[in-house]
Amino acid sequence: MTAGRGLWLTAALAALLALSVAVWHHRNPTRQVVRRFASLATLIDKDAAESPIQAAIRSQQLQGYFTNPAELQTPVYGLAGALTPTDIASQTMSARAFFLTLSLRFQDLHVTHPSRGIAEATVTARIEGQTSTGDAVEEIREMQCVLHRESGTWRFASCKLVDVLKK
Amino acid sequence: MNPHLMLRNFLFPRLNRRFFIRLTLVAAVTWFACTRVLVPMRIHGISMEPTYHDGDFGICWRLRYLFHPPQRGDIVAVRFAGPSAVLLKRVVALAGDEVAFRGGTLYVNGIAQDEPYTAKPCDWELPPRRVESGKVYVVGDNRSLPIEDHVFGQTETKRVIGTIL
Repeated sequence: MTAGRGLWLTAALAALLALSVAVWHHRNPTRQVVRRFASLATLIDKDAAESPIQAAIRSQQLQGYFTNPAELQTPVYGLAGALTPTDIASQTMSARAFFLTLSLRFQDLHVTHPSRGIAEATVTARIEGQTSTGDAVEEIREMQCVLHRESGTWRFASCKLVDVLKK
Repeated sequence: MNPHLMLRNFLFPRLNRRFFIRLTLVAAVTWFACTRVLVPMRIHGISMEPTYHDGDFGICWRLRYLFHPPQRGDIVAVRFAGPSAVLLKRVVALAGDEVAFRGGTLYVNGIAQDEPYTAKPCDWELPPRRVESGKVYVVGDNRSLPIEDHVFGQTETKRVIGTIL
């Protein structure tokens, strides 16, 4: 074998390995759930220049993130009970309207798969923003969520807040 | 060796294999120390004033409770889902203790506690409650906040990830 052919063979093997890793990364259910959380956070984010049309598009997209119905136990955010995706989107958008800017970040996300098509996630949600009256808001909460895979898409089936400290 | 030469070798090392091994080792040890042992953190909020102020920097010593549980008076870091965000609070009672606030004074097992580290005035009223097994009761030092606005209470000992230095 010539040195040139050996080099080509090594490059081809490296490319094949990189492609395999990329495919595994893309199809790995845990990575898919992590990406779902990240895209939800991006959808909730708001900047001061957001137009009503952009808000309406986000509301429409948000509906695709939840099963019908989804069980939410987040009363501090005005979302509690078995709600339809439309209800969740409209109430979330109403809450967003109080903010001039809003940023949601998920940290320390731990995902397990008790069975095929179901994911259980524990995560720290960090909300920062500024209300329309100029007050700064910063909140950190722990959440437990269950996601179901429906038609190839991970959707939130339930979410509840965890009491880290109990008076 | 000539000190000038030593300084030059330190600042402008030869990029050989030994250098890269040393660099990798230093990076690995630094990463491990800063994420698992001595974790730098920035303090947000006023719940631990006057002991710690908003914007202060601190170092979380994560090995503190490796061999023994938290004690009364310890300032501890309580984690959420992971160590990226923690609550900084003081342990005031342990599992089995009865905790109450009367007229702004903390009572543990019916005995009024002297807490020179707290911010006053405090008018908190909290009926007695027992700390469950496997938990500790933590409160911030800033008791001048209204009781509804102050995040405190009992939490699992496993959530305590260290103390602040």
